[in-house]
Amino acid sequence: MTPQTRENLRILLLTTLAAARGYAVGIDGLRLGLPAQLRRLDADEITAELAYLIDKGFVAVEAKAISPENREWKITAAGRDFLAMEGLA
Amino acid sequence: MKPRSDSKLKILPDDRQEQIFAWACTPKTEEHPGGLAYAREQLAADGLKVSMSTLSEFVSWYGLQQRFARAASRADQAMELARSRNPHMSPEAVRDLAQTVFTLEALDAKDPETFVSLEHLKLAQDSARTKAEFEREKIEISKRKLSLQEARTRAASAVQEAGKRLEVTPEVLKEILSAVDRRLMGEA
Repeated sequence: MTPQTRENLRILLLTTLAAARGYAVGIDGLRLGLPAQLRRLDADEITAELAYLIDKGFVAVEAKAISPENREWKITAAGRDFLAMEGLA
Repeated sequence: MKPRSDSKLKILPDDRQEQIFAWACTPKTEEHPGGLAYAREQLAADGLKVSMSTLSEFVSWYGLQQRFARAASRADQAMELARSRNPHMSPEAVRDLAQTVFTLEALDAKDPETFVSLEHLKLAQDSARTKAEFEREKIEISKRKLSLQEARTRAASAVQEAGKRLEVTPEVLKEILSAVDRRLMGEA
Protein backbone atom coordinates (compact mmCIF):
# COMPACT_ATOMS: atom_id res chain seq x y z
CA MET A 1 0.00 0.00 0.00
CA THR A 2 1.42 3.39 -0.98
CA PRO A 3 1.51 6.18 1.61
CA GLN A 4 -1.14 8.03 -0.42
CA THR A 5 -3.42 4.98 -0.46
CA ARG A 6 -2.90 4.53 3.26
CA GLU A 7 -3.84 8.17 3.89
CA ASN A 8 -6.96 7.78 1.73
CA LEU A 9 -7.89 4.62 3.59
CA ARG A 10 -7.58 6.35 6.97
CA ILE A 11 -9.73 9.26 5.80
CA LEU A 12 -12.34 6.95 4.29
CA LEU A 13 -12.53 4.97 7.54
CA LEU A 14 -13.07 8.20 9.44
CA THR A 15 -15.72 9.52 7.06
CA THR A 16 -17.51 6.15 7.20
CA LEU A 17 -17.54 6.25 10.99
CA ALA A 18 -18.74 9.87 10.88
CA ALA A 19 -21.65 8.82 8.65
CA ALA A 20 -22.81 6.36 11.32
CA ARG A 21 -24.15 9.25 13.44
CA GLY A 22 -22.90 8.08 16.80
CA TYR A 23 -23.30 4.36 16.19
CA ALA A 24 -20.37 1.99 16.06
CA VAL A 25 -19.39 0.23 12.85
CA GLY A 26 -17.74 -3.16 12.37
CA ILE A 27 -15.34 -4.26 9.65
CA ASP A 28 -18.10 -5.21 7.19
CA GLY A 29 -19.82 -1.86 7.66
CA LEU A 30 -16.53 -0.01 7.25
CA ARG A 31 -15.91 -1.81 3.97
CA LEU A 32 -19.10 -0.21 2.61
CA GLY A 33 -17.35 3.14 2.70
CA LEU A 34 -14.33 1.94 0.76
CA PRO A 35 -13.80 1.80 -3.00
CA ALA A 36 -13.57 -1.65 -4.59
CA GLN A 37 -9.79 -1.87 -4.51
CA LEU A 38 -9.70 -1.14 -0.75
CA ARG A 39 -12.68 -3.35 0.11
CA ARG A 40 -10.51 -6.34 -0.73
CA LEU A 41 -8.08 -5.54 2.09
CA ASP A 42 -7.75 -8.06 4.90
CA ALA A 43 -9.52 -7.26 8.14
CA ASP A 44 -6.07 -7.10 9.77
CA GLU A 45 -4.92 -4.38 7.37
CA ILE A 46 -8.02 -2.31 8.08
CA THR A 47 -7.70 -2.93 11.81
CA ALA A 48 -4.08 -1.74 11.67
CA GLU A 49 -5.19 1.60 10.23
CA LEU A 50 -7.95 1.83 12.82
CA ALA A 51 -5.30 1.29 15.50
CA TYR A 52 -3.41 4.26 14.07
CA LEU A 53 -6.58 6.37 14.20
CA ILE A 54 -7.14 5.22 17.81
CA ASP A 55 -3.60 6.32 18.68
CA LYS A 56 -4.36 9.71 17.17
CA GLY A 57 -7.49 9.91 19.33
CA PHE A 58 -9.80 10.05 16.29
CA VAL A 59 -11.45 6.66 16.82
CA ALA A 60 -12.48 4.57 19.84
CA VAL A 61 -13.27 0.89 20.18
CA GLU A 62 -16.89 0.33 21.17
CA ALA A 63 -17.23 -1.58 24.42
CA LYS A 64 -19.55 -4.51 23.77
CA ALA A 65 -21.17 -6.71 26.36
CA ILE A 66 -22.14 -9.35 23.81
CA SER A 67 -19.74 -10.83 21.25
CA PRO A 68 -16.84 -8.49 21.96
CA GLU A 69 -14.81 -10.48 19.42
CA ASN A 70 -16.89 -8.79 16.69
CA ARG A 71 -15.19 -5.48 17.21
CA GLU A 72 -16.83 -2.18 16.33
CA TRP A 73 -15.43 1.33 16.24
CA LYS A 74 -16.79 4.84 16.75
CA ILE A 75 -15.52 8.24 15.75
CA THR A 76 -14.52 10.58 18.57
CA ALA A 77 -15.00 14.33 18.87
CA ALA A 78 -11.35 14.78 17.84
CA GLY A 79 -12.04 12.67 14.73
CA ARG A 80 -15.00 14.86 13.84
CA ASP A 81 -12.94 17.98 14.35
CA PHE A 82 -10.26 16.64 12.04
CA LEU A 83 -12.82 15.95 9.30
CA ALA A 84 -14.32 19.40 9.75
CA MET A 85 -10.89 21.00 9.40
CA GLU A 86 -10.31 18.99 6.23
CA GLY A 87 -13.66 20.13 4.85
CA LEU A 88 -14.96 16.55 4.90
CA ALA A 89 -17.66 16.76 7.54
CA MET B 1 -5.22 23.57 4.95
CA LYS B 2 -5.82 22.71 1.28
CA PRO B 3 -9.40 21.61 0.69
CA ARG B 4 -9.76 18.18 -0.90
CA SER B 5 -10.91 17.99 -4.50
CA ASP B 6 -14.06 16.03 -3.66
CA SER B 7 -15.14 18.39 -0.89
CA LYS B 8 -16.54 20.97 -3.32
CA LEU B 9 -19.49 18.67 -3.98
CA LYS B 10 -19.87 17.63 -0.34
CA ILE B 11 -20.28 21.23 0.81
CA LEU B 12 -23.11 21.95 -1.62
CA PRO B 13 -26.63 22.36 -0.15
CA ASP B 14 -28.51 19.10 0.59
CA ASP B 15 -30.99 19.48 -2.28
CA ARG B 16 -28.13 20.08 -4.70
CA GLN B 17 -26.31 16.96 -3.49
CA GLU B 18 -29.53 14.99 -3.82
CA GLN B 19 -29.91 16.25 -7.40
CA ILE B 20 -26.36 15.20 -8.32
CA PHE B 21 -26.93 11.76 -6.83
CA ALA B 22 -30.22 11.42 -8.75
CA TRP B 23 -28.44 12.35 -12.00
CA ALA B 24 -25.77 9.75 -11.29
CA CYS B 25 -28.48 7.12 -10.70
CA THR B 26 -30.30 7.98 -13.92
CA PRO B 27 -30.30 5.08 -16.38
CA LYS B 28 -28.89 5.51 -19.86
CA THR B 29 -31.42 6.55 -22.53
CA GLU B 30 -31.27 7.59 -26.19
CA GLU B 31 -31.14 11.24 -25.11
CA HIS B 32 -28.37 11.03 -22.51
CA PRO B 33 -25.58 8.72 -21.35
CA GLY B 34 -26.96 8.21 -17.83
CA GLY B 35 -24.90 7.55 -14.70
CA LEU B 36 -21.82 9.54 -13.77
CA ALA B 37 -21.34 10.83 -17.32
CA TYR B 38 -24.84 12.33 -17.26
CA ALA B 39 -24.26 13.88 -13.82
CA ARG B 40 -20.99 15.34 -15.07
CA GLU B 41 -22.72 16.80 -18.15
CA GLN B 42 -25.44 18.37 -16.02
CA LEU B 43 -22.93 19.84 -13.59
CA ALA B 44 -20.87 21.22 -16.46
CA ALA B 45 -24.03 22.80 -17.90
CA ASP B 46 -24.47 24.49 -14.52
CA GLY B 47 -20.87 25.73 -14.67
CA LEU B 48 -19.40 23.22 -12.21
CA LYS B 49 -16.60 21.17 -13.71
CA VAL B 50 -15.58 18.02 -11.86
CA SER B 51 -13.52 14.97 -12.76
CA MET B 52 -15.14 11.56 -13.03
CA SER B 53 -13.11 10.33 -10.04
CA THR B 54 -14.30 13.26 -7.91
CA LEU B 55 -17.87 12.61 -8.96
CA SER B 56 -17.55 8.87 -8.36
CA GLU B 57 -16.13 9.46 -4.90
CA PHE B 58 -18.93 11.90 -4.11
CA VAL B 59 -21.64 9.46 -5.24
CA SER B 60 -20.17 6.67 -3.08
CA TRP B 61 -19.90 9.02 -0.12
CA TYR B 62 -23.46 10.34 -0.59
CA GLY B 63 -24.89 6.82 -0.94
CA LEU B 64 -23.18 5.77 2.27
CA GLN B 65 -24.47 8.87 4.08
CA GLN B 66 -28.02 8.01 3.06
CA ARG B 67 -27.66 4.37 3.91
CA PHE B 68 -26.21 5.04 7.36
CA ALA B 69 -28.73 7.80 8.01
CA ARG B 70 -31.59 5.38 7.37
CA ALA B 71 -29.93 2.74 9.56
CA ALA B 72 -29.41 5.29 12.36
CA SER B 73 -33.02 6.41 12.06
CA ARG B 74 -34.26 2.82 12.39
CA ALA B 75 -31.92 2.25 15.33
CA ASP B 76 -33.18 5.43 17.04
CA GLN B 77 -36.76 4.23 16.52
CA ALA B 78 -35.89 0.84 18.02
CA MET B 79 -34.29 2.58 20.98
CA GLU B 80 -37.39 4.70 21.59
CA LEU B 81 -39.64 1.67 21.27
CA ALA B 82 -37.52 -0.39 23.66
CA ARG B 83 -37.55 2.43 26.19
CA SER B 84 -41.32 2.94 26.03
CA ARG B 85 -42.25 -0.75 26.11
CA ASN B 86 -39.60 -1.89 28.58
CA PRO B 87 -39.13 0.91 31.09
CA HIS B 88 -37.03 -1.42 33.27
CA MET B 89 -34.54 -2.16 30.52
CA SER B 90 -31.12 -0.76 31.39
CA PRO B 91 -29.79 2.10 29.24
CA GLU B 92 -26.88 -0.15 28.22
CA ALA B 93 -29.24 -2.89 27.03
CA VAL B 94 -31.32 -0.35 25.10
CA ARG B 95 -28.18 1.06 23.55
CA ASP B 96 -26.96 -2.46 22.64
CA LEU B 97 -30.28 -3.18 20.99
CA ALA B 98 -30.15 0.04 18.97
CA GLN B 99 -26.55 -0.68 17.97
CA THR B 100 -27.58 -4.13 16.75
CA VAL B 101 -30.43 -2.63 14.72
CA PHE B 102 -28.04 -0.09 13.23
CA THR B 103 -25.52 -2.76 12.23
CA LEU B 104 -28.15 -5.00 10.67
CA GLU B 105 -29.83 -2.15 8.81
CA ALA B 106 -26.55 -0.69 7.59
CA LEU B 107 -25.38 -4.00 6.20
CA ASP B 108 -28.72 -5.11 4.78
CA ALA B 109 -29.95 -1.87 3.32
CA LYS B 110 -29.96 -1.45 -0.43
CA ASP B 111 -29.27 1.81 -2.12
CA PRO B 112 -32.87 2.78 -2.97
CA GLU B 113 -32.08 5.08 -5.86
CA THR B 114 -29.87 2.54 -7.57
CA PHE B 115 -32.32 -0.18 -6.70
CA VAL B 116 -35.25 1.79 -8.08
CA SER B 117 -33.34 2.64 -11.25
CA LEU B 118 -32.36 -0.97 -11.79
CA GLU B 119 -35.89 -2.11 -11.04
CA HIS B 120 -37.33 0.41 -13.51
CA LEU B 121 -34.85 -0.71 -16.11
CA LYS B 122 -35.61 -4.37 -15.45
CA LEU B 123 -39.33 -3.66 -15.53
CA ALA B 124 -39.03 -1.81 -18.83
CA GLN B 125 -36.96 -4.63 -20.30
CA ASP B 126 -39.38 -7.25 -18.98
CA SER B 127 -42.34 -5.26 -20.22
CA ALA B 128 -40.80 -4.81 -23.67
CA ARG B 129 -39.86 -8.50 -23.77
CA THR B 130 -43.35 -9.55 -22.65
CA LYS B 131 -45.04 -7.32 -25.24
CA ALA B 132 -42.83 -8.61 -28.03
CA GLU B 133 -43.35 -12.22 -26.94
CA PHE B 134 -47.11 -11.65 -26.69
CA GLU B 135 -47.22 -10.19 -30.20
CA ARG B 136 -45.14 -13.06 -31.57
CA GLU B 137 -47.40 -15.56 -29.84
CA LYS B 138 -50.54 -13.86 -31.23
CA ILE B 139 -49.16 -14.08 -34.78
CA GLU B 140 -48.21 -17.73 -34.25
CA ILE B 141 -51.70 -18.57 -32.98
CA SER B 142 -53.33 -16.79 -35.96
CA LYS B 143 -51.08 -18.68 -38.38
CA ARG B 144 -51.86 -21.97 -36.69
CA LYS B 145 -55.62 -21.23 -36.74
CA LEU B 146 -55.51 -20.37 -40.43
CA SER B 147 -53.46 -23.43 -41.26
CA LEU B 148 -55.80 -25.66 -39.25
CA GLN B 149 -58.89 -24.20 -40.91
CA GLU B 150 -57.37 -24.80 -44.34
CA ALA B 151 -56.50 -28.38 -43.40
CA ARG B 152 -60.03 -29.02 -42.11
CA THR B 153 -61.55 -27.62 -45.30
CA ARG B 154 -59.21 -29.69 -47.50
CA ALA B 155 -59.85 -32.85 -45.43
CA ALA B 156 -63.64 -32.36 -45.46
CA SER B 157 -63.63 -31.85 -49.20
CA ALA B 158 -61.42 -34.91 -49.78
CA VAL B 159 -63.54 -37.10 -47.51
CA GLN B 160 -66.76 -35.98 -49.18
CA GLU B 161 -65.35 -36.70 -52.62
CA ALA B 162 -64.10 -40.10 -51.51
CA GLY B 163 -67.41 -40.78 -49.80
CA LYS B 164 -69.31 -40.05 -53.02
CA ARG B 165 -66.96 -42.29 -55.00
CA LEU B 166 -67.28 -45.10 -52.49
CA GLU B 167 -71.02 -44.52 -52.06
CA VAL B 168 -70.72 -44.16 -48.33
CA THR B 169 -73.92 -43.42 -46.44
CA PRO B 170 -74.35 -39.89 -45.08
CA GLU B 171 -74.14 -41.22 -41.51
CA VAL B 172 -70.82 -42.98 -42.14
CA LEU B 173 -69.51 -39.96 -44.05
CA LYS B 174 -70.45 -37.75 -41.12
CA GLU B 175 -68.62 -40.12 -38.79
CA ILE B 176 -65.52 -40.15 -40.98
CA LEU B 177 -65.55 -36.36 -41.24
CA SER B 178 -65.89 -36.09 -37.50
CA ALA B 179 -63.01 -38.54 -36.94
CA VAL B 180 -60.75 -36.66 -39.38
CA ASP B 181 -61.64 -33.39 -37.71
CA ARG B 182 -60.88 -34.80 -34.27
CA ARG B 183 -57.56 -36.07 -35.54
CA LEU B 184 -56.70 -32.65 -37.01
CA MET B 185 -57.74 -30.86 -33.84
CA GLY B 186 -55.71 -33.30 -31.79
CA GLU B 187 -52.62 -32.51 -33.85
CA ALA B 188 -53.15 -28.78 -33.67
